[in-house]
Amino acid sequence: MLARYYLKSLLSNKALWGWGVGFMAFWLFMGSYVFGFNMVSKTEDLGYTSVWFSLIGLISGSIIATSVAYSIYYANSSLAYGFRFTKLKPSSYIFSLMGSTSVAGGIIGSFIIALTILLFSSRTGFLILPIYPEFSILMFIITGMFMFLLSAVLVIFANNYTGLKSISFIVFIPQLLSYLFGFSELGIPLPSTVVYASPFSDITRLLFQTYYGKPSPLNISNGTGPALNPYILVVSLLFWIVLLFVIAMFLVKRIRPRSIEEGRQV
Amino acid sequence: MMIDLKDVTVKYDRRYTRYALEHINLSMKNEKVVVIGPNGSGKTTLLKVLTGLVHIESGEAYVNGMDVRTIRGETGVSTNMAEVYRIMGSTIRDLIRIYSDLKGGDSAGPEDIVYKFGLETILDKKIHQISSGEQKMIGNIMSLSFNPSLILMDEPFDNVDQARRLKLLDMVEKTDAEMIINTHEFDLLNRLQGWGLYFIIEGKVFGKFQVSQLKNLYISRGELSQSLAVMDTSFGKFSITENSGTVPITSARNLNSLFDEVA
Repeated sequence: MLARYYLKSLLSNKALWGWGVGFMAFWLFMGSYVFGFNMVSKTEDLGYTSVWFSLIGLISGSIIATSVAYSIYYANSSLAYGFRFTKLKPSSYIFSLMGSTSVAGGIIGSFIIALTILLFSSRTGFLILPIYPEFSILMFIITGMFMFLLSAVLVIFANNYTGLKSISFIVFIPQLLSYLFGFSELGIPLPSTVVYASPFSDITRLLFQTYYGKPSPLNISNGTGPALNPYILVVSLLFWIVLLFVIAMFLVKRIRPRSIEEGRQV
Repeated sequence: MMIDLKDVTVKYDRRYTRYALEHINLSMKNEKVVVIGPNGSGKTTLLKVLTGLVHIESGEAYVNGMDVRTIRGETGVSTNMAEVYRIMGSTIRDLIRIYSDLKGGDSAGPEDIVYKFGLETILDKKIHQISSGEQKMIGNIMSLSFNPSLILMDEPFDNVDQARRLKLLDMVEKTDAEMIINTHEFDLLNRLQGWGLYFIIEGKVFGKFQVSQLKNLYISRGELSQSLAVMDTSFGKFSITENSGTVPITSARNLNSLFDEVA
């Protein structure tokens, strides 16, 4: 019940569509038409397209996280009351929102796939399709799950244990980390241990693989280095999801009612 | 349902010496009471203690024998406080359905009440798109729905127009549930004869009186020997007396102006 209404609420959020799809379409346009001036062959350009797709997929997921984080922040008193005086349980709240955020991630991800195909194919004149689109959507669903849990942990931790003046920074942490890991991989070759350990890199590399059809090379920007083991990437990402789920459950059970006015900046 | 507050103290900011509630002891069982006090006296904090929405500095608060800090799944307690209905940014219609599900009730009841109050145009709007009076009415309607056994209403008549106030009073009078209503206004209390009455000033509760006594109660500066209660405030002591005194309590529209008049 809660999941259905939360999904409806997410999908009717114009800001989420504007930033999560509209702004990402702008970046995909930049990737295909502005930065992709030397795209010439279908085979080589599949790799270039896959890099852009994986980066934009990660950032799009982090934008969902920001919307979710604000939503949890505004609900702090409702949850404190709800756990006491309704049938709502912390576990059902986390599962419901995680489920609906994952579905929203899958839906928005489908638009990202479609936009990537449209823009990169129209730019090159070749039809550049993802090799495993069904796994791309699955990855967007898992990304939604991860981003929900990350934003839930950050916001509820801030709500319970710190001042709320920093809330407008905290809700953007998933986006900041996504930009940091996403773009740093393009410019600075990261060691494989960092790539495997970082959930943001795991998402990028797995999204890359679903589009490209082959495991991601260590240096994603120039396609060099050993191929990364997708199983380790999956296990690492699932480890982060489980860890964040446990922390989110611990925190939400202790949610502290706070006045949302505490988050006011001036 | 039983309410028991034992020596409850609440402080919003530990740096300040002033308490929002100071050593409150209060017991209620199957009663209907009105708590009146000036703005900032601790009325809302009292209800927040009972709904678990505020940190209790010291003391204990029980609802139906269960500590409010650890109570879970007690669907019989409802409130009109707006912040508890912000679980997500849905339309009012969806919020009613969500809370119907969470309270184990039927959404037809509250939706019918929305129509009864002529508020149907707000059903497809989100909470931030409606006026403060409409938000208050949605809280009131939610609190009166789903067969609660204890209703905690904070300033239910604030920003509500006269016609809706009277309809709301009708509903409040007819409900069987135990109730606590906070208000700083006196003018609607004569409809609540038979209800208990408490005063709250600077975080301290005084009483219990009866609403039916209100027309005979007076307030005077100082500590009088025949007083029913002495209110010790930062701006002096005031005595509540019956049948004689400096200012009849009902002569003022609310407690804010009453203290100005006596002081």
